[in-house]
Amino acid sequence: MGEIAITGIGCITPWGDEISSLSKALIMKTQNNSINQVEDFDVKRYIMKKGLRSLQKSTQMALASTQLALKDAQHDLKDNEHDRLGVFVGNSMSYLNNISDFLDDVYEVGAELVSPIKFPNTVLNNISGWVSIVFDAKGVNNTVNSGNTSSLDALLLAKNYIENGIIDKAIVVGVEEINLGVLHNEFNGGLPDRKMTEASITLILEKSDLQNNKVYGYLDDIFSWQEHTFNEKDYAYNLEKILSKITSTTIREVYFGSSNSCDKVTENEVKKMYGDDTDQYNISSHIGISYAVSGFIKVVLSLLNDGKKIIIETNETGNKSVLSIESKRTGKI
Amino acid sequence: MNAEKIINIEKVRAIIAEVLEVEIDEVKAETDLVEELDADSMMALEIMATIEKEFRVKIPENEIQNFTTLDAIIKIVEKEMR
Amino acid sequence: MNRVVVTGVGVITSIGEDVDTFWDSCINGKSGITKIVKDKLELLTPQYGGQIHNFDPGKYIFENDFNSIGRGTQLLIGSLRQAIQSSKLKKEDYQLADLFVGTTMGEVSAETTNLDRFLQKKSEKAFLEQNQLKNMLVYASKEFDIRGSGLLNTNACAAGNYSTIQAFEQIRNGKNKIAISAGADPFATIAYYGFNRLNAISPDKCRPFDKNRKGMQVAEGSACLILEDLEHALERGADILAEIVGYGVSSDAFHITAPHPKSSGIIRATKNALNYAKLAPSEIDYISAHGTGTYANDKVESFAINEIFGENTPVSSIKSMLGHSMGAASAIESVVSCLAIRDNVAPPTINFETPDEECRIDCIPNVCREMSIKTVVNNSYAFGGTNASVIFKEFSK
Repeated sequence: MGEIAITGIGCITPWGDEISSLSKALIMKTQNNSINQVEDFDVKRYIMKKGLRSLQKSTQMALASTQLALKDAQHDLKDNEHDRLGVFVGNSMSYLNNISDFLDDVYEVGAELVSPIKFPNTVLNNISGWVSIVFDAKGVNNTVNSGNTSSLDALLLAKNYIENGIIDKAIVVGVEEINLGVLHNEFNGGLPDRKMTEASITLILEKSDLQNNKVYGYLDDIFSWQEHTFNEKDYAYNLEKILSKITSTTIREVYFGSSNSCDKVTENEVKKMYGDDTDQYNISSHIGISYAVSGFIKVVLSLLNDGKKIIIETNETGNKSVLSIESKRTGKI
Repeated sequence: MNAEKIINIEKVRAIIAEVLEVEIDEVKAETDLVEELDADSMMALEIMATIEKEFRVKIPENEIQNFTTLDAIIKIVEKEMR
Repeated sequence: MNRVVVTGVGVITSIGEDVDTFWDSCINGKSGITKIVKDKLELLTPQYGGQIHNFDPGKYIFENDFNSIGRGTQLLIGSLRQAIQSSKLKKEDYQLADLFVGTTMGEVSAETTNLDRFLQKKSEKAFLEQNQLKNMLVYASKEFDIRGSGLLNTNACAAGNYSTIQAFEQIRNGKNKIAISAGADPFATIAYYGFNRLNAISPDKCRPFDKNRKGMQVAEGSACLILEDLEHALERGADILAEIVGYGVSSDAFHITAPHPKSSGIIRATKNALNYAKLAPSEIDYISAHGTGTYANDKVESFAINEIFGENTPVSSIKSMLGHSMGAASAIESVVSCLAIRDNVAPPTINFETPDEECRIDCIPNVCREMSIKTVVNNSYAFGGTNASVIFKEFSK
């Protein structure tokens, strides 16, 4: 069985829509309570298809980043290959914005007159549905919600579906929109006092023994596990166990930082494990909270140069995830 | 009475043009919204919902399938407004 | 590759809060549809739904403060507890299980917090935590101290089947000996308002495959299945309800709410499942339909069934009795598939009065059917055109 390769990347971020845009985030200084949103976003800049104007921004961003990723991967499917293309979306809190839009309409005009098209937007899998429609992906479409680890869990699911022979190629999206519903949930009517970032990132995944024009890197392992109660010792123990399983060729970089109480533990364990031989990046002071797209922000940063990389993503309670990637840019990058 | 009708027609034309993402002058009285302007069922629902809100009128469910041209829509709305 | 069997099940539904009561009601064609009663809900023209009345979370929830967790999670823990109990697994076994849960709307806490936001009021912390849907798994895992991997599939009305598929593959690939699949959804005001505006709700009864069918009914519920590696199950002398032998998935890639008019997606999902299970259509004894009772779904589903199976394979929709319990539906229907195999009886499609020329299937109208049932296909189709079929088979060594 061939390895699983990342063959395309598409990014819609507050710092731009280039793959390198996210590295700007690490350099630019923003306030501790800044809400980093994608300003002046217009889906028509990326996709000319009609019928998208009434979709929520999170769905439109996902479509745009997917368009960029497929273009980047020089995606060109024969007719019969559409059945072997799957869509996997990691999305967690954005639905609150969509519900706001629907219910605010109900408060204004009543349930009998609320706009019917606002309802499908509230259904939690509307993003993967739209991505499959716009890009004619007929293999499978799947949405997962595991908080901060959503995009990495979507990636793991895509990898499993490819390895199980159900599909050959996957569009994997991590997306989150910061808007009224999300802001209320985080700050409960108060002013923002911590940093948040919205973004959509799409990765194209396929078996590396297929004809790949371009490869960014290969997925080695993805470990995902649950901790239902936050306990520093338990997390430290589990993380050390997982990191020990990863092959001992030199790890060049580790990316972590989920803007929660796990970060301190992660930092200590990573230092213990790799010392000074590895560059360690806690991106939370630059990105803040980004929920579902958090893992993919780290993945893209890790693919900007070659070497073996580790990404660690956590929820205080719930899923935790460790991904090891061999970043090895080949082909026309 | 006539002036009122003209305003209503232009409002409806504008709603259709916006939902179908076409220029206003593409929506003529007899233009078939499905065949010529690629309207699908969600767009038809959006046109209906926007009209309902704008004119404070409820369109019966079975009339949606008759939302075929600007003229047809105007007739349905006028009927419901009476 | 390892074989995967079902060794425990649990359900919370409007026609029974335990498996025996539920199954007895199901076989006897009992309806769980009642007039909708919900705080702050504006009652519209279609007034009926499948709510579960008198559900007592205190019966099932001990490690969490059940007043602080949402109704969807309460229902989930209810059926999860039943399934674990019925499997007779020891704690040291189920603690290491993987847990996959499917849901359509998640929790309904956002209905409350959104109004708070609109009125510029602060929300209660418990509701804000419930809005973080990943907590559905956190609370459920905490209840039983489950430490395997886990995932919430928000795959709308096929979510239950997608969870079963993931649990199945974990065991088949040797990644775990035990994996739990569940589906849960509370009655959502947003779903009621939304489906009403799509003209999808029946004003009277839900009549799948009937010529005069007028739509679905919003409902709530949960169901859970314990999946286990066959060798592990045999070693501990577990009761085996059924074996899962294959699945098929597909995406319509057509429309966000309407199914593909030529049923192409759902035909592919079912054919993929049959290929996976290495079964011919003639070997399928019963089909548990998606059967929502809408004009569109039942028409395309019947067409697909005719294309693959012809007109004689018995099919029924338990949504005729329960309404559409969203993410729970396909999980409940998986439990039905196992029980149908165990007892050789298929539940009816109730409220059936007039056959439809466009639905030329044997929908087991109104009365259950005793027959030999060795294999069952469980179909589910969802918004976004996502389709999943799972095949259950009578276990034999």
